[in-house]
Amino acid sequence: MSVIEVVWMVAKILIVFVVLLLAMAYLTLVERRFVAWFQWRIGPNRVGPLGLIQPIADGVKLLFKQELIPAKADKFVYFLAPAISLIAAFAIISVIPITEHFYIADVNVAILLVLAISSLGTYGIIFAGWSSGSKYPLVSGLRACAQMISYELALGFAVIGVVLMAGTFSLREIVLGQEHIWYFIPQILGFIVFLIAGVAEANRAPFDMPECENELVAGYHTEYSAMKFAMFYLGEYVAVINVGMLATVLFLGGWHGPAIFGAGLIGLSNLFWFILKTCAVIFFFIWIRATLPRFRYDQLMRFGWMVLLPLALLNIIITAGIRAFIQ
Amino acid sequence: MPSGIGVTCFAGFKLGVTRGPQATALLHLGMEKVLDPVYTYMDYNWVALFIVGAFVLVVICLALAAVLRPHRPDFAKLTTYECGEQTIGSSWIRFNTRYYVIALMFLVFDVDVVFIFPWAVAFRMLTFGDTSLYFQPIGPAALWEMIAFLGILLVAWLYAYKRGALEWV
Repeated sequence: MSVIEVVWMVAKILIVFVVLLLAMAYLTLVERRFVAWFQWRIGPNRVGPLGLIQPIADGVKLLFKQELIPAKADKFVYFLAPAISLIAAFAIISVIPITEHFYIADVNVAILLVLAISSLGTYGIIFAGWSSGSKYPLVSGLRACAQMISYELALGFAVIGVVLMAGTFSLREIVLGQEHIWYFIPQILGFIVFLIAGVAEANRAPFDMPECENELVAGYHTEYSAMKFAMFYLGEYVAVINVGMLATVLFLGGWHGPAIFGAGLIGLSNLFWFILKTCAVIFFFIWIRATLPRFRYDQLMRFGWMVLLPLALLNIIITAGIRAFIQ
Repeated sequence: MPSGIGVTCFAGFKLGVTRGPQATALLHLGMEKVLDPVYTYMDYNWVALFIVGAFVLVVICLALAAVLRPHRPDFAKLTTYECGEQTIGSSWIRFNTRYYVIALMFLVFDVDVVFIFPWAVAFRMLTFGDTSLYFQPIGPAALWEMIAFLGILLVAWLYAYKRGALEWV
């Protein structure tokens, strides 16, 4: 490991962080504008042209806000929760290959690492719920935990279909294996299960049980304010971007463009296709948030255990059957 | 809730080890073709560096906010939120046992996921063999054995279903 290698890697990490933070900040604006248009409203458009400075104004406001930590809270765990949830959300990005040559780390068990780190994110939420010393967050934390572990199973099973197709855990090799056919075509069932479970993993509507405002005030971050609240918010949007990128890498062919467009500009077209696909998945998330009403909690759990899990298992058996008899 | 996948993965989370002693020992047996793809893609030190970066980001955010924000707590601000009512008692109370049942169910299935992942990775090699492998491919038996395993899992799922572990009302 030479010095140049380390410096280049630090630069790459900085680039990824800056781009990600900007993307996250503007994702909040894009989501608010889109949801407003879906609902025949206008949305935030006062701060700067088209409301483009809104995310920065929000960030500055949250930075200067007073922080109220409840007297009953367990201080250490209360402090730990947003940090875990943000770090876990960020850590996943380190193994995602953005283009063939631009990635932070190519790890041989990348898929397992992604699943492991995303299940660590559950700790952030349950710690927040428990340590606040308040009743709504406690209920929300328990719900979130049960929901996330249930849908994590469906997510894991859905990914196994892709592993059967590719024969590797490395995300980069999975994308390389999709040069001729993107896995969402042979794995359509797995892709649907992955998307639904991904929405539930990111705690997004219509599965945003942990923070449904008409039952639980604001869910697990009811007692959080100022920067700690902002960190939860950040973590949630990074999780959305993560699921978008994972769906792109696992099912939508990663950096490969459709064959009719050819190779295009060296490297840049790869980046373009990756970003386009990720944005499409994220737009799909915003779309269903604006369209679908929230599930009831018992419906949510029944759907996870009775529909998604058997479907994902069926997908594994079908895929393995096809792969076993066709050379 | 500790995740089975998480535990397995972090047990193998060796920072900075790209070629361990086990790898060298196995290389002498002439299995480099099998092991090479496994041992070349282990950039765990970069993953660790990235996590350190995220940690630094968190510290910067919190420190900056701590310096800039005002700090004027009073009694009302420090109470927990209960829609304007006076808070009664502790919130660390007993809760529904269904959460434990779900956690147990999760544990059962998550361990199975851990078993299925290595099978899925090696499936083509198991069925058709590989030029670099010494053992004979076992053909469709790789599929039948996993179906038998999933069948046992299905019995567990049906049992939980009959006992009402998956119902919430």
